[in-house]
Amino acid sequence: MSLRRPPLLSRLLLAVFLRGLEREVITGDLEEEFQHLAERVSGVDHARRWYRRQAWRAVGGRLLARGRRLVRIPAEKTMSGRSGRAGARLGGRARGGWVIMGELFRDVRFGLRALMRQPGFTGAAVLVIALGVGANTAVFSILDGVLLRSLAYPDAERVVRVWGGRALSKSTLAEMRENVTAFEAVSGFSSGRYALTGEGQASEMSGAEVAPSYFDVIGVRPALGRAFLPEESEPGRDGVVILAYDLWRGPFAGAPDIVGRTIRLDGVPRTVVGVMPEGYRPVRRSWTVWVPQTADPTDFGDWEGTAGTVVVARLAPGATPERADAQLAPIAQAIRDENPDVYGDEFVAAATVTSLQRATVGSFRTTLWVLAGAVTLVLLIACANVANLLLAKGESRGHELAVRRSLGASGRRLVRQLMTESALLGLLGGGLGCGLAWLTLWTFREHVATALPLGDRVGLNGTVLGFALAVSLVTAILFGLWPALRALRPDLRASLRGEARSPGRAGVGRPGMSRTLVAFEVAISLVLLTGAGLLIKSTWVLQRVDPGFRSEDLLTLHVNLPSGRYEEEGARVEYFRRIDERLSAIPGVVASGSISFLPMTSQHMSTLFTVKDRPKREGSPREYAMVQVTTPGVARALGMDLLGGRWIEPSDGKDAPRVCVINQAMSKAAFGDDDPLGEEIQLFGWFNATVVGVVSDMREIGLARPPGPGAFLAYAQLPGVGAMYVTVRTAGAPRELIPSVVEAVAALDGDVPVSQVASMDDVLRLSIADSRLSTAVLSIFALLALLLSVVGVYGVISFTVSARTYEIGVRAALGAPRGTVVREVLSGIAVPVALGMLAGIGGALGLARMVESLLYEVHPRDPAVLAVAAVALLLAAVAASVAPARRAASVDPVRCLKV
Amino acid sequence: MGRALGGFEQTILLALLRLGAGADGVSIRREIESRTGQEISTGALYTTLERLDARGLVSHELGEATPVRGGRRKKAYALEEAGLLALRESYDTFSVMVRGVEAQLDVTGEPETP
Repeated sequence: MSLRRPPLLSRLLLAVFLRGLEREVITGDLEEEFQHLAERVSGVDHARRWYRRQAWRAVGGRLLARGRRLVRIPAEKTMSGRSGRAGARLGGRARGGWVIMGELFRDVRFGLRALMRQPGFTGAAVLVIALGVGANTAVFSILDGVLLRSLAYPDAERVVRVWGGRALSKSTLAEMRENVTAFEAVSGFSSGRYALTGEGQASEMSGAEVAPSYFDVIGVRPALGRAFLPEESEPGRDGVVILAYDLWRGPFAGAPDIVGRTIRLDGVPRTVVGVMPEGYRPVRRSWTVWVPQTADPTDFGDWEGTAGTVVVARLAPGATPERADAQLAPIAQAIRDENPDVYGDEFVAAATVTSLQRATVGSFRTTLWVLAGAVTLVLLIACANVANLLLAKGESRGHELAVRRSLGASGRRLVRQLMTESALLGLLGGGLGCGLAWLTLWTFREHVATALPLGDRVGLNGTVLGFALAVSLVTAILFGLWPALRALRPDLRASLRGEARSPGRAGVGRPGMSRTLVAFEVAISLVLLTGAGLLIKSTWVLQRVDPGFRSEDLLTLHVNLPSGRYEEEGARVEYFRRIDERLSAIPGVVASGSISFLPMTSQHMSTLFTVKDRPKREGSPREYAMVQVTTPGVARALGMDLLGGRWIEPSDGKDAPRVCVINQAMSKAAFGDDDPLGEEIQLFGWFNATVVGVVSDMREIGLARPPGPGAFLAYAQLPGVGAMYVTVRTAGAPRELIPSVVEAVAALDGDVPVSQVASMDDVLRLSIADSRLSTAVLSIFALLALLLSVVGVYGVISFTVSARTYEIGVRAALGAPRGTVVREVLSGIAVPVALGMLAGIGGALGLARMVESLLYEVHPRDPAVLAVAAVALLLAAVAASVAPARRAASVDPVRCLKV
Repeated sequence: MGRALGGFEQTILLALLRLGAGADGVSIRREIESRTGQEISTGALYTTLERLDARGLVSHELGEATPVRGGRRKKAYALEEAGLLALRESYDTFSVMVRGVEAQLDVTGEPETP
């Protein structure tokens, strides 16, 4: 006989879905014809196709037939708890293997009806699961989008930042390209802002100057046109630009002839050579134009931290970050040896590579993991609550189950029935939870995502939905299992004798489990409340930090002089002088001035400084100062405190002696307790200026960053940059002056783009948006946890009271004082709450280190926060107990004994 | 008499009539397929045969297991008296209804024999 076999899957299909004689006969027929076709008629391939077709049709037909028959089964039959085998007999031979499916179907129908009969219980359980699952799904979607999924670059794990994203000189870049074989490609970028003119109203574009092979490093090439050629990084040949897809579709209306067209950036004509692909967005940047970086040293020279390049590289296939680090070390050492005044040991130590993704998500990583931990805790509480609800329900159904059991329902059948109900609860809760998650994510995308790195990559996806579904099912089934197993061994006689009506005894085994769950909920809630409390306190402290300037009644905006214009000597200085002139004419404007970097925007420029005639002491650390270039009006506009000397004045022109104003920190760092006025310092290695004044320290990078040495220079004496922030002190609400201020600036020169118009208070708020966000989210989780624990506490006391109504009634009838009864009821919950609190305090202290890095000047074991959290939880528990305790006190002996 | 026969039921009964007693699923299917030129589903065939069996129009007995069937038994069917009656009734209904409209159906000539 031939060894040819029909297709395996089809045979399995038949084996699974057909039963008994039917399976034997049909499979036999198909086998016979298969062999016949294969050997004598049309060959094996055709036979296999035929067999497959026949098998699917046979199974499909049976599925349909059974489905129709199932729907017609009268529901009453299903409630008798008839066992599978009996059902199969009664259903006749055709029913066969469909018994299991049929029973499942019946269980589902019966389960749904059972759930609908108890809308209170079902609603509570579904809501609790939905809250837990919804919060989890939302947070894990964010985690998935931000952390777990890689960046949009091909082989993103090979894209690294070199030197921790520190700006380096361009010659270093060339050296790395030659000597570090662990890199497949090395490039660099520096971001910039460009005025796009000649296309209607001038607008400011954010963009990047990129070194050659930048597009090789990121692995994304223009979709239209080409990338930059190596020779386009030579001065004079760099008149080219690559546009973002959105810029091409938007302002350029998707013009098909865009490649080859000339546009003007900063007044410089550049030929469009490419358009990036749709959907490509640089990580955490809003770049819309890319221009070649020329090999030219910039105005400020080639110093670290001034006009450098952030180096990025693509690791060669198989190369490890460690190998790259090892190859970088000698280069770093050589640079340091050549410039001992500039670079220190920390420069060599920092010569490492970091995955771009890790670098991008940065500090937000901790926040997200903390939130993930918190939300998992919320889910655990939700699980505990569901378990409690199911336990309570299982107890109250003891009588029903006992009756069914005694009428012959098999234990397996009952357990399956209960499990089906649990699974249904899980599915309903999970479905609702997914809805909640979707809503949350939608809100997140609409309102928050822009403030977050990679926030636009967040969305519901199959993985996360699967996760949510699994979580809800496991929750429900796991916690439905226990009551279901209990149902297997009910004290039949006790239940049937009617003692279920006095469940004081029937439910003896249960409260222990419930109380454990309550203790668990209380503990977790306390941990979350403490965490939220710490963050709230930290944010509160942060918001009250004195930034060193007056942020209220302050309007700020950014202007960027196109570099093709205002090139002649003094033109820029004159422009900013006339801005001040025009602004002062607006009623309500008190003072105005311009500054190179607006505080709280993380932008800054720092450089080494030295004091003239004071040689650097051996072994003392080199000092960096943050340098700001300002116009005379800024001190009044920002409201800085002048501690000595004078501020920069209009008379500090380009021909006057060079002056600078330093802050307290710099005065201390450079001159100790000596008077700095009249001393001369050197910046950038070439700019010498005499100290004419000292101002109080100002937080420039962010509220959480304590101020360091800082120097303010006169714009008239260093007008190198055309992009400045104009600050306007107003008499009243700054936002109301926005139209007239913007109009005044635009009226001066319509080709100068104005952007980032905002009140300083808003800038401050935005600067701590991350910490405010995590505080808000963790607080919501903590409240959710608190709410769920309150429900848990309430549920347990409530159940105790109703379970002991009979007993309480008897005792009341015998003259027991109400107070004693209430005290006894409450003491039942006091122990688990107290134990939970203790465990929670332990947990909060233990987990303190996790949130440490998110806190600003708040100790992670802050006793006040812990105390407040504990008291809040205690009050909530007491509040939850009041209603059921009153119920216990008002039990009417006559009514409950009459039954 | 039960309800009228369906089209597929008529086809199967006619096949049994042609094949005589003892026809199994494979031969019934082959008979129908070779005459109509259309592939029929074995599953559907047995579903219908079971239905006819339940109505007493056909009967079956279990045959022996053969190696070509992978050691599985077969069912051999036979047309019952009731089945023959049902077929006749269907034929009567059909001929009464078709009389006078043959031209419109374009079936005036003798049907082609395969």
